[in-house]
Amino acid sequence: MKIARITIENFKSYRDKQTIDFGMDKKFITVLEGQMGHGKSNLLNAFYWCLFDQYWHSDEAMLVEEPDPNDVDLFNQAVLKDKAQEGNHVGLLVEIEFWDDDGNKYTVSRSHSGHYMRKTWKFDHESLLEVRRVDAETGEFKKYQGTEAGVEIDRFFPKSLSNYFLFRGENRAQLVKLQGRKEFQLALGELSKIEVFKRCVHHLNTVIDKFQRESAGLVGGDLQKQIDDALERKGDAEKRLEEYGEQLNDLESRLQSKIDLYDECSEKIKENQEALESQSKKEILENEEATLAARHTELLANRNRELARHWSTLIVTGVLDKVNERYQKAVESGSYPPNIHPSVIEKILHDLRCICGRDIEKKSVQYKIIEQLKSVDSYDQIIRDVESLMGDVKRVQVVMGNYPDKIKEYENNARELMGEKKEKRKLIDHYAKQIGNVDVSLNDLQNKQKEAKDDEVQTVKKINEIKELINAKEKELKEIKQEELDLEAKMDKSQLPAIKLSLARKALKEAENLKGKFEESIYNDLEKYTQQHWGIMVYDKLNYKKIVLDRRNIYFDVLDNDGNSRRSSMNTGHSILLVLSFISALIRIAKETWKVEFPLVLDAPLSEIGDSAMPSALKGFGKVFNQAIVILKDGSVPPSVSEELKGKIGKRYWIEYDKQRQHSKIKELKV
Amino acid sequence: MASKYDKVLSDLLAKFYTDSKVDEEVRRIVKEVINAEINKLDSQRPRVIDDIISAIEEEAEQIANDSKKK
Repeated sequence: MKIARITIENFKSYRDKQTIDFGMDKKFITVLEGQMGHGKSNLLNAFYWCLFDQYWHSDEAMLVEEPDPNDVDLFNQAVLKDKAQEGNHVGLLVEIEFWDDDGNKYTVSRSHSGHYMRKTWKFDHESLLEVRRVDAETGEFKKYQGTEAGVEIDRFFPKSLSNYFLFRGENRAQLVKLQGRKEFQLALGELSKIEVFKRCVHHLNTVIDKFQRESAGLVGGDLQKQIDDALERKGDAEKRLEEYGEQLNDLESRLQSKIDLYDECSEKIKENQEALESQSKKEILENEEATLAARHTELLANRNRELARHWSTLIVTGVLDKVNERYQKAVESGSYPPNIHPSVIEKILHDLRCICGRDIEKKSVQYKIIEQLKSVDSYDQIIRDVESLMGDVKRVQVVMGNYPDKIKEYENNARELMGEKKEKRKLIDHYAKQIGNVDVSLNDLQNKQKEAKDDEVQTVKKINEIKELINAKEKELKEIKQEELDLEAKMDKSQLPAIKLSLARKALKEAENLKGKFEESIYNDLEKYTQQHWGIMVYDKLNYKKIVLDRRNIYFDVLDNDGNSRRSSMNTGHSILLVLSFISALIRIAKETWKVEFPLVLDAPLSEIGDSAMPSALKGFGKVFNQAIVILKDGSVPPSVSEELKGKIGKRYWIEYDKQRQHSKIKELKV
Repeated sequence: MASKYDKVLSDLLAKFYTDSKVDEEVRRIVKEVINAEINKLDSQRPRVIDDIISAIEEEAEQIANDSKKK
């Protein structure tokens, strides 16, 4: 069976009528990408609603059966707002087209309608369901409606499996925990023909009761009374046990929901605490960043000052060189001291001002020394000044010699500071991203979590009470059954009623044996296939060595090399892959039982599997699923993955929410 | 072609139907009951407890007759 397309109109964020075609056969993967909150999960809900008349209420974390639009927002809210005029009508449609394995084409169409009356929208309480079938060979067209259509869908998509092949990431923990529950056993029963044996056992028990009554009627007297009494007590005990069983089931569901709520709160609290921590880290880093920025500015100013000093020194060097040259010439020519005319000095100072700016007059020592040359009044003074100038020449030469290293040092320090600042900015951005939209008020969450814990404790107490009642009732039932056998032993075994009873009991025992053996073969396969699919899909198995199925509780555990249980400490990515391995094993069993292939519609945070593990997981889909519709919960497929899966992705879409129209637009992308 | 579990089922039943450790009448009754369920599964037939009762009665009468003859 392969899903060919879905058409949606006015459902949740999907306003305008749109159609999505899905990849089939060799290109069996369809990828739907988009940012968070743009309508991807609404698409999964469209599947739930159309095929099963169910709605996944993510805020309440529960699956609503037969959702009533008067209570649940199924319609596009913008359409309702725009059309809110007396007498107006609005329709909602989700249509899914699929092909069975014989090539017959089916279209499942579920619709709803509402009318605007007396300033409010009134919706029909129930949806309308229609299934249209076109025969592959004859082209014959058939239409089913209402209950008949429901039966037809159930042949292909059993409701008990909705949670398995419409896979929600946030449901993964629940899915694994649910495996021991009634729903899972129901699903497995439907998938594997275990039901055949269950019904045989049930029928034989009914027949035994009937024979017992019949026998009692024939023997009469006290024995009849005792048998009737035992039968009556047995009936009561069984009825009570059934009630207790239902209560236990409800309580266990309640417990599970409270545990999930507690976990969810813990997760959110953790997120919030992390956000708070990130917030404080971010603030510290921002302060450090500001300090670094100030230090950097100061460093640059120092560098610039140093640079100006060096440049001015460089120029002064030229002047000093000239003076030195004249001084040397004067010494060599004997006309000592040298003739340095004030106008020459004036010219030099003018040039200096032109090159270095007027500030040099105030700040440069060298300028002052040169200037002093103008006012010399004796040769001795000139000689002293010139000789002092010669000292300066040497000092300038030293400064010039150091020049590149010192500036380099400033520049290196500045660069290091910039690097450090950049790193801090990176971290600040990282923390800002972590904080995201998390509401950092913890009180409500902590209260909610406390309530969940209290309720959990109370529920556990009630569960233990019910379990005690069940144990007591089971003991009582066992005793009654023994009593029945004892009474039967008193009957004449050669008589027909006793023979019938004995035969029925023996048949029951054998049917129970066969049931156990058949179940065992299914459980063996379930365990084996889950292990195999785990091997195919998981890129790095770490120390998760062996997957084992706890038959009694129907719970998968994962053992490490030393045989220790690792299930509870498993990370999210591996946990998702374990559930997918198990789902694909179920689907394989269904295929081997009914020869029907189920597609997988997956709405999960695949990024948690990790970029390096994702290609292996998605490639593995091709070996374990016959069709996969992957709704990426968190953005888009990394380009490397997309490249590796080129030959397998049949269709690719981008979902973007148009805020103005309040509509999720689906755009086909190039594969 | 039969599915894998049809084969598992038929192998399991074939082994049981020829298992001499189980009384022949019991094997026949279980066969009857299981076949009725499998057929019901294929033909969507409603549950028929009466089929089981009559199968057991038939076997029981045979046993009763046999014991009388002895």
